[in-house]
Amino acid sequence: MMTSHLRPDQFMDEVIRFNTKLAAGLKNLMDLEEIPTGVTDKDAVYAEDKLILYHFKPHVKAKKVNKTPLLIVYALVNRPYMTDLNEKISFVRGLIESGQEVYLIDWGYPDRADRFLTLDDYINGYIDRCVNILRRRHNVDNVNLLGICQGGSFSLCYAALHPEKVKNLTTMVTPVDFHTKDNMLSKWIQHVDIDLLVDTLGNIPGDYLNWTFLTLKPYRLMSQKYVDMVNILDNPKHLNNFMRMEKWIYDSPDQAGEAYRQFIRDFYQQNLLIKGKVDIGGRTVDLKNVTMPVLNVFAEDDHLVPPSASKPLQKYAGTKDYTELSFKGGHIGIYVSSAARSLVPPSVGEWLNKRA
Amino acid sequence: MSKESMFDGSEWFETQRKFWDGWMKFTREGMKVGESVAANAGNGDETVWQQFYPWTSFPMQDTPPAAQDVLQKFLTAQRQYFDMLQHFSTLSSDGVNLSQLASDWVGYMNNSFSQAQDHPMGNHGALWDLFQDTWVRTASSLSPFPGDFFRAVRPEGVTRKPGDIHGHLNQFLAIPSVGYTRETQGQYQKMMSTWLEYQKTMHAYNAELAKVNRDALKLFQKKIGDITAEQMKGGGKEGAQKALNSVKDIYDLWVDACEEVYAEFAMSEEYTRTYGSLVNALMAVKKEAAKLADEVYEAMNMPTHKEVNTLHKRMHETRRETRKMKEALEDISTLLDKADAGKDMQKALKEIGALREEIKALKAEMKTLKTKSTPTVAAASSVSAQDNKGKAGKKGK
Repeated sequence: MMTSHLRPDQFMDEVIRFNTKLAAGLKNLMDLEEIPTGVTDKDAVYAEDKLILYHFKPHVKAKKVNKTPLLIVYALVNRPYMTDLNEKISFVRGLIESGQEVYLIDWGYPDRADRFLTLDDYINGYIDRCVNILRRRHNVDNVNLLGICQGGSFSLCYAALHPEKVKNLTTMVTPVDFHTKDNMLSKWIQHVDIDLLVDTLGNIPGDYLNWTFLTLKPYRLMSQKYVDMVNILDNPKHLNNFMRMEKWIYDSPDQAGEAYRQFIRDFYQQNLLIKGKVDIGGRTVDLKNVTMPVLNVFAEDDHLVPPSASKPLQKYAGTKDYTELSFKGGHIGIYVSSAARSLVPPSVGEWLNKRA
Repeated sequence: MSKESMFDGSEWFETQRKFWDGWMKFTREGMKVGESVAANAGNGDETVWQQFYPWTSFPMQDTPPAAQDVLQKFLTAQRQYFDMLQHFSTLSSDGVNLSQLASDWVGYMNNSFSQAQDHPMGNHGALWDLFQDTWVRTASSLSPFPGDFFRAVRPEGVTRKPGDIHGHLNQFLAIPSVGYTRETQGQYQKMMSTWLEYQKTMHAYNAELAKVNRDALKLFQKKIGDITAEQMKGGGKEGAQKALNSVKDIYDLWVDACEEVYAEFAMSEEYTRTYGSLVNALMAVKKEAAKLADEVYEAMNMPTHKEVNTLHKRMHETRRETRKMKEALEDISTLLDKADAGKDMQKALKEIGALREEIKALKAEMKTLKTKSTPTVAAASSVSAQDNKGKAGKKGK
């Protein structure tokens, strides 16, 4: 009914309905079991410090398996089980169904002993050793690399520094040009004294990063989301999915101080990646060395890494085989929505299989 | 209290029953208590409304660990929504025009934001607490002070008139320290100065957010005006899409307005500078506090942060060197293997060569032997023939 009037009895009715839903739904909330972190069976094939390299066991038999293994490099921020949140929307499962042998790097939770880990340690150290393990396990010269968000930036650096070990590169919601006009995170960090921050805190607490991400859309993420939650409280399945997502959002590892300093200063503050001036372990990252086929996946409504930050990869990468995949959704929705599940992993798989 | 007892005919449901009884009584009386509700709203004290709203006293400790945090956030958000419901319920029982409603809400909220600006760390209702709570938790994890420390600062202290109090304190803190404890005094003074600076930046940050909220209210009012005008004209597709039929619709519209204004402001140079200043100021406090903490640790013969950092740094350097050496050793080992493989090959080739020579010699010898053996066979035949002749001769004789 359309009206320019609201009557008190409407308010009363709304309150009564609201409270009824709340009372019914809170029982579901109270009955919640431990929230799982990932649903697909996996084996740990390598461990080093806090890092664990996982191999996912296929849950279905693919028609044809790609002989080149696929390594997912997740961001240091948040936890990688976002790619395997539940059976229906699991990004990992989608890749397995497309015929990929999927491996994933879980960075773990850095503590104070990891404070002096640098980008060199992460990229030329951890990632390189994981790649070498896959090369040996599968008896191949190179692997398929798939980087997510910050992990995408790391993968780009790795592919530029070790092109002979990367057969195909997929970047997902990956920032490349950090100084585009609509990049809110980048604007905020420009006046932060990064040396003072890292020298003072050592590692950067996950709480600080959470606060930053929440304040990108504070009214929606801190308020409206929970008011809307009452509508799913009476549906255990939806509530369970909500809680998995909620756990993931606040499951934020601390960031190793030195790596954070270098990433914020060189990438966010000085935009050195596209200038060809990022130095990793004494070697300069030149995106022109990214000559292998590249698939660049981005989300059209991404408020953390806007498409304008991802798309310049086409201009700066040295590859002649460049493909873009655009998804109508947000930074997280690209991994956890049904629409994304039916589009993104099959497309990535198909693209890889064509280049097998 | 177990889950069973809470949800299956327990005292909690009894509380619910009382709530509904109270609620019905409340509505029957035509919301006569409305004015007192409005008068109490936003001052942090328990309101009449809260007496009817049992969720505020929900037994949080009995919820499963997985749900506790989200339940806390859920209840806080619901409080905001109920703030709105509470306010609207005080309006005329004849119903209210949307424009009138928006205007009233804007007035109420502006009043709340003004209070918040005077004393940003106080309790001003859930709407303002949105930012405050989150930042206080974050700052608490980054600073040596618990979150409540900042909340405890009263208006008559630092934040009401920051200029005045800061001026006096800064003058006091600028007095040079003297004597045997000069260094320590100086450190404490510096610590206090950084803390005052942090308070100032926090105040500036809050002032900007208050402005965002005020501007959001103006936009909200405009949006309501637009929708009302559209509906007065007879609706149309756009009007129907935006129809406001519930408080939730109004709440969603208000959130839209807030996000719109905030998104624009958050991209401005003004905001990014304030944001940077806020983080930098908090870090300065933390840095000075860490120095003081290190002095205490040292006095107690305990490892300091500085020392632990040095150890970690050296450990990482050693690990890198070890790894480089390991890689170098692996390279050398590979080269040696290759070299060994080369030597073996040469040896094998040499042996093959020698064997070839031997075979060649043997072949030559064979040939020689063959050559020598052929006449021998002929001679033998001849001898044999002669023998036969002889035998025949002897026979003939």
